[in-house]
Amino acid sequence: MKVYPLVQVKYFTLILSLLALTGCASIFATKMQKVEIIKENDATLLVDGKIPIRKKGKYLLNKKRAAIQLTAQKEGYKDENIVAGTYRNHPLKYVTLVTSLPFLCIPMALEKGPKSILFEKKITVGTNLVKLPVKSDNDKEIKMNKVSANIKSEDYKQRFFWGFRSYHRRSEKRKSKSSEKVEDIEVENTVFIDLFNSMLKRSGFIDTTNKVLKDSYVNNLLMNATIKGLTFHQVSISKMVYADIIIDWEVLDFYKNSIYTTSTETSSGQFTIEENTETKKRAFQTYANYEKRFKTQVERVIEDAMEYGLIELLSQPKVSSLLKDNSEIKAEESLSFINIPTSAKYVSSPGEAINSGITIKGREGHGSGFIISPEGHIITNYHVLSGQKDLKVVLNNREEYDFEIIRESKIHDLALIKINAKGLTPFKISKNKDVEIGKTVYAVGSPTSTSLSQSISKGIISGFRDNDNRAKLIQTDVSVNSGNSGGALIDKEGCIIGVVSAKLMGVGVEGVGFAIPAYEIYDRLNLK
Amino acid sequence: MKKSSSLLLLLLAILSYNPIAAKERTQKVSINTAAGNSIYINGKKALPEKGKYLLPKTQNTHLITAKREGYLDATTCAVPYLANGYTYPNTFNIGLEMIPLPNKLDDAKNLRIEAVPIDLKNESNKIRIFSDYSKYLKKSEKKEAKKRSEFEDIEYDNSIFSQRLNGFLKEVGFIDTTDKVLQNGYLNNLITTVKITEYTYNRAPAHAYFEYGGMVYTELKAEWTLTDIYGDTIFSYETTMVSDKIGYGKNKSISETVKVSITNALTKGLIEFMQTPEVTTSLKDKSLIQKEASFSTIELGLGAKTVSSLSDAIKSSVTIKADDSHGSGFIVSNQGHIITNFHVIALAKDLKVVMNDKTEHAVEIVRISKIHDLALLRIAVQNSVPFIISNSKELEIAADIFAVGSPKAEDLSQSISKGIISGKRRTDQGFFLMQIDASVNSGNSGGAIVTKEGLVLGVVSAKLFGYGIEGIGFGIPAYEILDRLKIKL
Repeated sequence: MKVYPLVQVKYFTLILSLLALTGCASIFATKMQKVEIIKENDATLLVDGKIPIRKKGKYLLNKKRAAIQLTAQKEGYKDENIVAGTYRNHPLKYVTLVTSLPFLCIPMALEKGPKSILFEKKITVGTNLVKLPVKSDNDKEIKMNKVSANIKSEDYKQRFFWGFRSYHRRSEKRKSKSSEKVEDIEVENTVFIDLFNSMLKRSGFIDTTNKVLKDSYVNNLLMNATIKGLTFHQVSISKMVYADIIIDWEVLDFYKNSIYTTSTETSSGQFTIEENTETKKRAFQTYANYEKRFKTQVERVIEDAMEYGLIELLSQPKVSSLLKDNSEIKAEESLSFINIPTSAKYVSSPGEAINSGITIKGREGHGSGFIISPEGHIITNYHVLSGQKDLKVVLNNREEYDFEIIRESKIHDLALIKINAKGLTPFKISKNKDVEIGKTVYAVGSPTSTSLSQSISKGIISGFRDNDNRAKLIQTDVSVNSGNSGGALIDKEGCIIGVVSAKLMGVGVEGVGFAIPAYEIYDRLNLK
Repeated sequence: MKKSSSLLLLLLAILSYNPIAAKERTQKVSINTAAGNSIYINGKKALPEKGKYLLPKTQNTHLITAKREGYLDATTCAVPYLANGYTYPNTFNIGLEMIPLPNKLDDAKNLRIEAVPIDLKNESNKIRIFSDYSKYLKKSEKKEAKKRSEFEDIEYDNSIFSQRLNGFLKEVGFIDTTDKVLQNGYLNNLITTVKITEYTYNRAPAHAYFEYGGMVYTELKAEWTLTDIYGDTIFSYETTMVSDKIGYGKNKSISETVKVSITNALTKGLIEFMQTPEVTTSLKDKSLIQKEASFSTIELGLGAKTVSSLSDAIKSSVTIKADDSHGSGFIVSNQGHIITNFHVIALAKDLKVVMNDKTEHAVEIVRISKIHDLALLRIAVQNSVPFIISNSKELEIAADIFAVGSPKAEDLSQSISKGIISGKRRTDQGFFLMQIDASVNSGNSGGAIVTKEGLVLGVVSAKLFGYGIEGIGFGIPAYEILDRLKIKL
């Protein structure tokens, strides 16, 4: 057996004991680091969701957590999130470097403990908080109609950094790459619609009272959002993620006609991927656990970026002027008079009404209407005509006619159209402003399908609604269905009482239909 | 030397597979069970031969069930395990203490499960996995259950177990299975909700690595709540249950087996709950009949002016706001007395009456009849114009009627809809209801059904809901208001 010389054993133990050492910084540096955080004075700072310890104007951050979530909050402003990560070398590390030279730099190589890496000395968060939009009294309400995604594979990009050090050094220079594996993303309706609507509710743009007659052209706008581009920035597998998002916005009026389009490019705040727990030994015990957390954080990042987008959109001067736009009211108040020719003979019973009711047929649905002059003047709802092409009027004798729109009132959902015909029997329109509750009425129209044209159903006037200075409506329990819109609501003598315009729908809901009172036809369309 | 050692190895190998080599197809086991039980193996009735039962020897688990008329089936399973070359344990104890099934008496109320919500905090969601069945046999007592860190807190409002428990209640006769719509009433029905609050999942596979099947059982803790049909809590109880041991294998997935075992544990808990004295007395309790029969008479003044037309009817109808929902009601005296349904005000903390002129009033509850779903309220208004309540017991089928109320939303207050009396119906409780085809919706409850002259014929109380259903509403006949609430005009 070979005997090792004593000297060799000595060196061996020395190297071993050095191996056990882990360098000056790992031993002598403190666990916490004092960091100066620059923020607005009245903003509250949260570190990992909790109020941090403050010492001599500086904040104590725990270095053990390689990535820390900083949130600046202020009433009426959007929360700003950033992530602070450790990446700077502790000065003591250079001491280790010098002392470890004789030992083949082994201690320096081992200097990897969390204590030996530092946060930045100064961190800026919440100096430029974004104000949340607030609805003013004369603003319209605005609600999301659809949130879709249409992302080409080249617009779906990613940037990945191995750590905060490379992120801070190369963040400016590194280009984002579009991933080759991802295909084009096309989703008609995403889950984010609830997010937007709850944010709009908080800002007062959506009325939350339990009322059914609150929406109208004057009071409501709608919006479509389409996500066009998405770029993710990620630091390490588990440390930080944020996203840039490009959204195409479309502002719609009450009838879902597009009135303004624009696009926003916004970035989200930064979020940690690891969970912010104090007692964290191994953040992700299983891959499934990690995947779940990653998914929720990515969703949060997208939500955050989208919220910034919505705020930017609402602060655009064009959008705020649309929210206040009342030009339609003035335009409709100053309409000139139109003379409706009179007739020798009028509809005088519900039986005759069938011949003077018409169907308006289009590619994307149909509605009803009724004749009010022998020369082919017809009244219907504006929403029957809105957004449709190639509309035709179909009389009860199956003849089809082209028509011209003579006048429309978006506010009151009424329209006057004319076909080229002669010798028609028109309806007489009641000018009576007293709506008699309990009176028997008949609805004439084409419920659900054009093949059911000129159906007639019977009921009574259930109520008269003129709440909140909005459009006045007759409530009726007569059976009406979606194709009935624009059809006539008449009394026993065949005289027009109203124009069928809406109904309540839902499981277990029945017999709650609405009609525009007949006298409004004269008043609002300025007819004689 | 080499030859002999390889021979020795071969011999050892053969010896270690002895049971397979011997080609035994069945194993004799003894099953201890109480007298009167019959034993089923894998769903087939098994008879002992010389006191022993024969289990087919496969790599599958076998279900052993003890059955007795009037008792809950007890199940255990035989898992083959490796320690002895895929044999089953030699003795099984099953059904030594059978659980008697609850017995529904003729006059007892029906009981159904409304919902089985799950509310598992992370720390009460546990797991105990034995590496194989032999380990389970050795260590089942000692092994601690571990927290399942992969789950966060779980909260569901309902789960599939409500259907399964209702299936059990149907079997034992506590749920009426006839296709009737008017069978439910205060005197006939009780409702139970059971919330699962602790859960431990136990599994012992036959083999540690190969998928040969195995055994699952669950331990549960649940909170049971008994309520009347209005949702008012009568009794709460907590049970801790351990399910029977259920086998999984080739034809039965683990997830389905887990559901079966949870259902089994919940069924045991349900039986325990139903045998508590509070529940058994509540099921029989009809004391409210006497109590409501002995109401003293209340005299109401009508005053000079009463409702005589539909436009008067609108003015004398009210909306009743109860917390976040609402119902309807109507004035019946000149001192502000109002009639509505009890279910409109049943659980409300904050009650307000909104009159037709939009004024809001605080409410005093004067009298309630839970049995007849009626309530008499009072607001501090003088000289209110009352409806006249018809005391005729004749309902003229096909007569025109009008329903007055606030359907769906508060801003539709005092709507009128028209229809006819479609029929006169007798409920299972023995009371009468009028069926109407006037459009009524959820907020109409408590509103008046009147003639053209404004005479009250009934109180809107219910409707049939569902896809494609319309024109089937129900009202409590007007004379019941006077008779049941003991009102004298």
